[in-house]
Amino acid sequence: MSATQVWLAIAGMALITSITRALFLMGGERMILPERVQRALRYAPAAALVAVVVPDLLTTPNGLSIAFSNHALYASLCGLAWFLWRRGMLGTIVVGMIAFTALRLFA
Amino acid sequence: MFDRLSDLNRRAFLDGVKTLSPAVPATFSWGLVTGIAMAKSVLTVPQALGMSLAVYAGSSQLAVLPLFAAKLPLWTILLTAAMVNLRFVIFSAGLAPHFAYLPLHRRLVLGYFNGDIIYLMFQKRNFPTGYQPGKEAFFWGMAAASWSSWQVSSIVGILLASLFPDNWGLELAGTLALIPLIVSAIATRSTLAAVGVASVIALLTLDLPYRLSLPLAVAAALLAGTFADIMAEKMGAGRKTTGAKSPAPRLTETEPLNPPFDIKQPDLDKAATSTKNTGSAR
Repeated sequence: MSATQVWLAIAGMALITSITRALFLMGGERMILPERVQRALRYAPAAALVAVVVPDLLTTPNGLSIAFSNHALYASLCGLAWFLWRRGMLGTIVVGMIAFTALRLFA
Repeated sequence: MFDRLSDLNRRAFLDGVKTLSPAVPATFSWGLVTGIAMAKSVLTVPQALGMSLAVYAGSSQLAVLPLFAAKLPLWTILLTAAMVNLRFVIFSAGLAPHFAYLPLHRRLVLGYFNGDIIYLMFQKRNFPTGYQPGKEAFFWGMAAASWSSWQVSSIVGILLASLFPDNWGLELAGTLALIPLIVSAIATRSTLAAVGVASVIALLTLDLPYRLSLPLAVAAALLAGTFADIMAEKMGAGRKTTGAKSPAPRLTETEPLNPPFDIKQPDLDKAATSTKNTGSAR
């Protein structure tokens, strides 16, 4: 991706932030979002995040892999386990990075 | 606001700053991680700084980093950012009745500086809709505290990142930071269905060109979530049908998962709370 394209992407994302955050402030004060639409708007972000994260974690330079050599995957599973247990975001990152480093150095 | 410096507004502004201040440490660590992840990605330092200052949306910034790395086309990146930001549309609907009296450009700027925590805390105050003295100043107090702690931490993260060797794999920290957001968003069975379907479809369609798999996964997730809602409604309809109140998802929604750090969870899970808040705001 060229530098110009990266800057275009950044500008586009800034525009998206502005539009999504101000959408109904632009003149929809009488607008009532139906419950079902609201719920759909809530699935979308989580769905988009997993659709990015899961393939990203499973992809290695040699294609999709759940082998133990895919350190990022197993480190993230450690982070996930920590989060399910302790519910702390910083802890999730720290545990994940420690696991990743341990795998990188010793596995 | 011509009387921005009036005593009342100044106090409301400071009240806003104070209200947000418990969330500052969490915002700070989140910004630090995002800054480091951006600087360790394919972005250059000026690009990372530009993204932080212009985009000002942590989870969508983190979400697009793997896409930049995979050299995916511009539209895929923008579409992903838009999807991750969709929850803000709900927030904008919640703020609209409070600030409809402002001129358009002021509403646009105010919307841009809204965020998950700000919205949550603003709604907690249960302001009456329409013009209220000090309400806008209160919002701006929170927005200023949130914006400055985010930008400072993110910029510190970007600049600190160069101290760490690349082979430490710190870009993984960005992905790890998204895990709490995803898990906390799964407060209902329908969301679990949506997220499960999204990950399966994303993997099955991974080889499609241009990562068409992304929009496909989100579309399938919306269908799956809505389908799960309808099923739950049907099963719940046997008891008592109170009409528009939609009792269905509440079956599992009684106890939304604990936010990662009590009030301060910066992102997605607030969307769950916002539904009730927008409801009460009307």
